[in-house]
Amino acid sequence: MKGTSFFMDYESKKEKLLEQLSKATGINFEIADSELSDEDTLNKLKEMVVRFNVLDSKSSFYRAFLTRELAYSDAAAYIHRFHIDEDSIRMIFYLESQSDYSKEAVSLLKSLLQDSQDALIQIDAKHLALIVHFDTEPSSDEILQYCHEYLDMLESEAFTSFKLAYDLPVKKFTDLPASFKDVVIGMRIGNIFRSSDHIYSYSTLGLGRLLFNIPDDEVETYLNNHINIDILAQLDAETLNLLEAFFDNDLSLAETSRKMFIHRNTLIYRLDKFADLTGYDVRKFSDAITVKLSLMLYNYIRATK
Amino acid sequence: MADISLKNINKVYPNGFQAVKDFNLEIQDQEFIIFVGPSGCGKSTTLRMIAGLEEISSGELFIDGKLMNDVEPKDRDIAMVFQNYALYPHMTVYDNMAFGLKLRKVPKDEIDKKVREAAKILDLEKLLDRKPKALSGGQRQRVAMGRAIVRNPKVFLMDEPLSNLDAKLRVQMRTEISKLHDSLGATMIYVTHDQTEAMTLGTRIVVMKDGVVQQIDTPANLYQKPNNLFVAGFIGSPQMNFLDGTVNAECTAIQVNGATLQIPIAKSKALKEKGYAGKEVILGIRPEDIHDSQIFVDTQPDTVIEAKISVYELLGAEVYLYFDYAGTQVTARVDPRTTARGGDTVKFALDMEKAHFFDKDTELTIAN
Repeated sequence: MKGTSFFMDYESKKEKLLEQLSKATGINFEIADSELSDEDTLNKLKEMVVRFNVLDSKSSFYRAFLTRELAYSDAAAYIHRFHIDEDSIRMIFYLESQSDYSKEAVSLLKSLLQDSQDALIQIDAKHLALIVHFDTEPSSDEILQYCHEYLDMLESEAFTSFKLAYDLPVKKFTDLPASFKDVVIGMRIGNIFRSSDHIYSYSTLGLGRLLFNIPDDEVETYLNNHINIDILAQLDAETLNLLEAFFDNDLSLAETSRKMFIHRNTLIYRLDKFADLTGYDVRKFSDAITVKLSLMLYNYIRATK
Repeated sequence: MADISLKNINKVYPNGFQAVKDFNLEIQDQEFIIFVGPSGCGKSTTLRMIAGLEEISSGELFIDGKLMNDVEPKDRDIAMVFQNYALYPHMTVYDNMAFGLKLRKVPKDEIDKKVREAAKILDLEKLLDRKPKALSGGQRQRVAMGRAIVRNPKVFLMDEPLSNLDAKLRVQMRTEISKLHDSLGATMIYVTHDQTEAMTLGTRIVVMKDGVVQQIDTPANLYQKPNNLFVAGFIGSPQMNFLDGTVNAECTAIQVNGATLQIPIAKSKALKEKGYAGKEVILGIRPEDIHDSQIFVDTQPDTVIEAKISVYELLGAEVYLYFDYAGTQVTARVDPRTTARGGDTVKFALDMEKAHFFDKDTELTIAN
């Protein structure tokens, strides 16, 4: 009885799956000869249905293509089906929300897309990718403006806080998966080294990209040989801010004191205090490099442990 | 509308960076509060914690007496306006303002009522059918404001909403925001790095630096009675001049770069009482309190310094004279009828009644 039941079950399931496959592809299939067991046949059919259904929208095609689940050699039919212009200049904006994003956030972003060549891809519950095409290559200021607009819109209208990572525009369609990989890594690096920022440009993450690949034990050895982790942990936010500002202003006392609205003598006093604590005088270029690296590596250690 | 209370609020990021330290503030219903400070001072982070866009690391936030720390942003009854007011390109002004409400399934007739009311307040009634590309920068910003108004929130949170506009439009929109506050009677919190915007808009201003509140006060008090060197330097444009000097043993005069400047009685008393006799202090003097007119120089002979003017700048209604004194560049804001020019050596009288004295180490105010 059990066997009959399974057989009937198999036949009805097989027919149902073949029907779905036919609907998804427009081709009528029948199983004439197969070396697979009934169970494996059903599984294979399910896979085919999922595959065709998943890629039955531009968004799902892009998701498979960006994540390299679908090779470019297999993408031609979809590129044709979704009228994708391969010669466009494109950019990927990769968004990460603090908690699961809402349907509102998706609707808002879709409404911001200006052209049928653009696409919104739901990567998972916390990540979205926008593929935006441009007629001419956008300047870095324009790109940054887009980033701010996306984030500000999501926050003010969908009340959801996102972070955004982007890479340089790509001119070849085949470069999109590599660009996607970069923005995903860019998000991870940004979250470690610049966690208080909301926008990360992969191409300007600089030292972070290099330090991201150093093994943990090497990092700890470096710190112990230069500025001990315990000393770094003692530094207050004011000192850290000041050091960052000093580095950002090319080690200029005048410019840093002006930008930080503090008296030049106060700045000198605080840098002296830091030198007394660590033995490194950041007014000297070589010491500044050591301190900059140490602070970044310390952040890396904190974020990854 | 709403009262807001922030108690011992702290924000620490995963990398250990503390963006906000022990922030305390009571905001009354219908107040227009400004958070001002240089980039990275924690003003936007504080605003974002009120909005619920950043988690509060420690401390408590109350809106209308209700603890809000764990309340979702959408349930806080707030509206936000940011610097980057992206509009939906395919939608009309009406639809741009209505879209957020549509997403929240607000009934159609209610949406219509709210959009038309907001359009009336913002003078957008005639533009409701236009698409964003047909709008000017100021009109676009007003649409962004409209999107916030239609929510009818308890609190408006604005983060540098005018920063993308040109100088002329910024001044115009500043006035409009002020009018909007009056007409809506709403509690507003406004973040800016521009001290002019802060001074002209706020009923009270919170000055921040390095995540720490430096002073919370009215615009007039911040200008006239700054708590410390930072507030004194940040509020006012051109900024206050700071000169290193040594107070005499009686606290009746201060020696600055060889010149002896008499200290008025009230300030002298404060210096003496606080133990600054014979000590080094920082003298603060605003540009408009440095005079080059002969009458002032003649009547205030005990507060005169002499300097060679390096730059003369005519701004129409006033003139800025720049000169080096005691190793510091000093700015004087004088009458445009001045005869002084670049290269001239000029006598300036300092209005010591308006002078400020700061501790050299702590940078706290000794006397205002």
